[in-house]
Amino acid sequence: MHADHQYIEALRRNDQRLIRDIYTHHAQAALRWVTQHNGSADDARDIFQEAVLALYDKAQNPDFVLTCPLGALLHLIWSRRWIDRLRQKKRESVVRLAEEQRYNTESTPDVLTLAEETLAAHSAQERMADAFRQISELCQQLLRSLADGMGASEVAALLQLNSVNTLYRRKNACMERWRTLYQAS
Amino acid sequence: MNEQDWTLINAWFDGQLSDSDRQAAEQRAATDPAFADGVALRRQMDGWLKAQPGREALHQTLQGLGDEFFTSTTAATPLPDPVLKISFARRWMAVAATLIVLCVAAWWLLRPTASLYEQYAMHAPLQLTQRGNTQALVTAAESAFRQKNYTEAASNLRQLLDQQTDNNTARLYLGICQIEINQTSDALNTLAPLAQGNTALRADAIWYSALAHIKAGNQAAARDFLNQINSGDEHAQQARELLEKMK
Repeated sequence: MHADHQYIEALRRNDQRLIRDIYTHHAQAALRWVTQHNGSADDARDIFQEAVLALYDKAQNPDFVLTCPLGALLHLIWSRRWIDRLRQKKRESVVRLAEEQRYNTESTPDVLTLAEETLAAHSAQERMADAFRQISELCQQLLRSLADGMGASEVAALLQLNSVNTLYRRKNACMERWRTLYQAS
Repeated sequence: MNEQDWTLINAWFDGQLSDSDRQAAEQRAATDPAFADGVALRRQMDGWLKAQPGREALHQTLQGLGDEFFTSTTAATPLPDPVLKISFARRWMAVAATLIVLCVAAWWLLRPTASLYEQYAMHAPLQLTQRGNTQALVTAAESAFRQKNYTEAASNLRQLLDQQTDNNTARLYLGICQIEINQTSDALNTLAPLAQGNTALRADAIWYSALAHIKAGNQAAARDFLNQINSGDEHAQQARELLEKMK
């Protein structure tokens, strides 16, 4: 376990002091890098925030342990995401930048693997969120209420369902719809 | 993974299985990769739901820090997008293309019926009570419905209704199948005795009559049905949502 694993724990519990430390230590590097590669300060803020959220998504796996410096991992994640954005905008510089990025990361395969896993976890979370937004408001409320720990009979009353059996029947249909949308995405 | 397995996994995670059924499910998860994938997905979905409050709180924290740490005064000016010289003819082509895109976008945005139907058409699994010598027909109907083969399910349910004209569940699900295969007028005729009657399936029949009209593009008629669903009835919340969306 790397000493920077404390920041993963900080993200898991929304420890604002340590999360501020992440920004203190790494935000300037992100700002410099993104603005040197055709981006603005706003772009840098968005891409850095996305990188931290991606780490949070990865940290949802309770077995995840950080084994490399946080800065190296964050750099790889934000640069990858920025290259993807440039690619979407079809900027000419993207090919050169991607090559440069590949060269820079060839010497650290463990960080590269971890960055890919983190981005994959983030992508899965985003797809799940997209699918969830497409199910009905009733389904969203039902699933959120149960996940928040409300009792089944309490949720049934809140949603004006006749019985707990009806609630679970509805929940099954909601989960099925969500799963279908997620797997189709 | 089929719908039946998914229903089983949901029942397992919701603590609705007996001890022996739960043990059987656990054993299956250890030996059946497809079933294990379903279990992993359900775990992932539960994890996503539980992580949302934390993710939203973190998002708020990051928004504040982002405003504080990223200021435009320290940033280099981004390179401008290349300026293209566009000929007169090309400019008109661009205008035409833009209009086409806008028309397509308008059509897409103004076609609420199909998406509304798909959003709300969630059918509980068909479970018929076997009466008399109808086991094969019941099993075939349930299986076809589970597999979303609504044409075959409708055929089986029709045969069942020929033998049991008072089978309200079969009638309701025949109506659902007819909606799914775009026979919305037939569906409305099938559902009418239930929607106008006083059985336990009345609210379901009214709800599906509304969905049949939505699928057929007749929102005014759908509204009439939705307004018949009383609070406390099955589908009351969804009916309110739909009425709101159709304003």
